[in-house]
Amino acid sequence: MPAHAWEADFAEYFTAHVAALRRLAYALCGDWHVAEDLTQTAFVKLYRHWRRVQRESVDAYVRRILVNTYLSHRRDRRREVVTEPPDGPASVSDADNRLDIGRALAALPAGQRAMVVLRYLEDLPVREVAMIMGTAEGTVKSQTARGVEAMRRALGVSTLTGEN
Amino acid sequence: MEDTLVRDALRAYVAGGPPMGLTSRDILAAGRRARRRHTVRAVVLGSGAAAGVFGIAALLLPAVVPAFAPVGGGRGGAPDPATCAAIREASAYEQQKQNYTIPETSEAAERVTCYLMATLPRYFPSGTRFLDDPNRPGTAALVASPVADPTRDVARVELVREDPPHGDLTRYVSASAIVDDGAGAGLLFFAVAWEKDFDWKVAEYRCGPGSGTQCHTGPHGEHIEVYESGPDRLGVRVRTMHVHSPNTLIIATSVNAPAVDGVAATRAEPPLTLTELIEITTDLDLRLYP
Repeated sequence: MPAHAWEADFAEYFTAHVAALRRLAYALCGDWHVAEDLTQTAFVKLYRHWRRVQRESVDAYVRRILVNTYLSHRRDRRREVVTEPPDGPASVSDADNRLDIGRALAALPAGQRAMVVLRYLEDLPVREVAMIMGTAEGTVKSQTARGVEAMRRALGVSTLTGEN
Repeated sequence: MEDTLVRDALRAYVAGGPPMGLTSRDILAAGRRARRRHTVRAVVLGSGAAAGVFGIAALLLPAVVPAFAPVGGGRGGAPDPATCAAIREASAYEQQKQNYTIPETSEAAERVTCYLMATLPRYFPSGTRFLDDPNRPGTAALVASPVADPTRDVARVELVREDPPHGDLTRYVSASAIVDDGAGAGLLFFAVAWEKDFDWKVAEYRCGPGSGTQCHTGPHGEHIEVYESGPDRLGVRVRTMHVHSPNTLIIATSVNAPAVDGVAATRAEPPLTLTELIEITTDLDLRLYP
C-alpha cells in the first residue's frame, strides 16, 4: 500500500504504463522474462527519483532509464536470447512472422536496435529518440535507416510487405 | 520498406506475451528496499572505514578537525605552491593549438586541485572549514584525482539525472569536500574531463521546452546546463551544472547536506549559489582543454 501521497501517484503511473514499458523492453531484448526484469529495474529506479522528475518528462525519463538499463544489461551479459514465441493463441504464420522479426531485431547492434524500436514501435519523433539515446538527429536517421534495411534483408521482403 | 509496415511488424511482434508478473505493490516494496539499501550503503561506505568515521565525527565535532590549509599546507596530497606555479596555464595550451598537447591526467588533477584550493575560500567567510568527503574514502578535501568510472562518480552526487554525461569523457578527474561555513555542512563536488565530440545540437534539444533543464550561455560561449532538485523529504537540495566548452566538460555540484541521499539537510541552501557556480566553472583557469 502506498505510504505517502507521492507513492500513490507513482503507483498510478506504474499501473497505467507498465504494460507499454514491458512491450518496449521485450522489443529491445527479445525475451519476456528479461523484459519483465528490465521493466522492474526501470520502475525501481524511477521510484527513487520520482519526486525529482517533472511530470511532463516522466515518459521520456523512464524510457531513457529502460534503454540505458537494457544497454548495460547487454554489456554485462554479452549474451541475448534471440527470441521466444509469445504465449497465447497465434496462427502458425503469425508465430513464424514474430520469430522472424525477433531474429531480425536481434541481429541489429544494441544501439541501432534501440533506435529502431523507439522510432517505429514507440512512434517517437527523431528528435526525441536522439534525446533518449544522447546522440544527434542525423545519427538516429542514419542508424534507423540502416537498421530497417538490415531487417529487410534479413526477412526478405515478405514479412514486412505482407507478401507471403 | 514503408514506415507503416515496420510499425505494424513491430507491434505484431510485441503483441501478446505472458500475463504481467509485476504489481505496483511489488514495485513499491522493491523501491523501498532499494532506497534503504542505497542509504545503508552510503552510510557504510561513509562511516564503515576509519576515514568515514573520522569524516562524520568531523561534522559532529568540528573543533577536533582542522580546516584544510589552502595550497601549500601540505595536507593529504595537496600540491605545494611551487608545483601549482609550475603547472602550465590554460592559455599555454591555447597557444600551442597548432601542436596541441593534452595535459596528462596527473597534471590535470594537480591543476584542478590548485585552482579549487586557491579559489573556493574566496567564496566563503574566514573560518570556513573544508573537510574530507566521507563518501570518498582516501581522498582529501578538494584534492582532485583521476576516476576510472565517470558515470558512477557523477551519479554519486547527482540524483537529478539517471543518464551519464553525454560525449566521450577521458582524462576525468574530480574532487569534493564537505564545507562548513557556520551555516551548516554542505557538499561541494567538481569534475573536469576532456570531452571529445560534444554534440551541441543535442544540447539544444536537452534545453527545449518541457525538458526541465535550465540552460545558459557562459561568458566565453560555454553551454551551461543547470539541474536543480529538492528539497526532498530530508530537505536536501541539489544544484548541479554541466559546463561544456569545445573540449572540456566541467561539472559542479553544490548540496545543502553532506551527501545527496539518506542524510538530512543541515543548511537551508547549498553552499554555492548558481551565480557563484557559473563564475567558478567558466573561469578559463579551470578549462583544461581549450
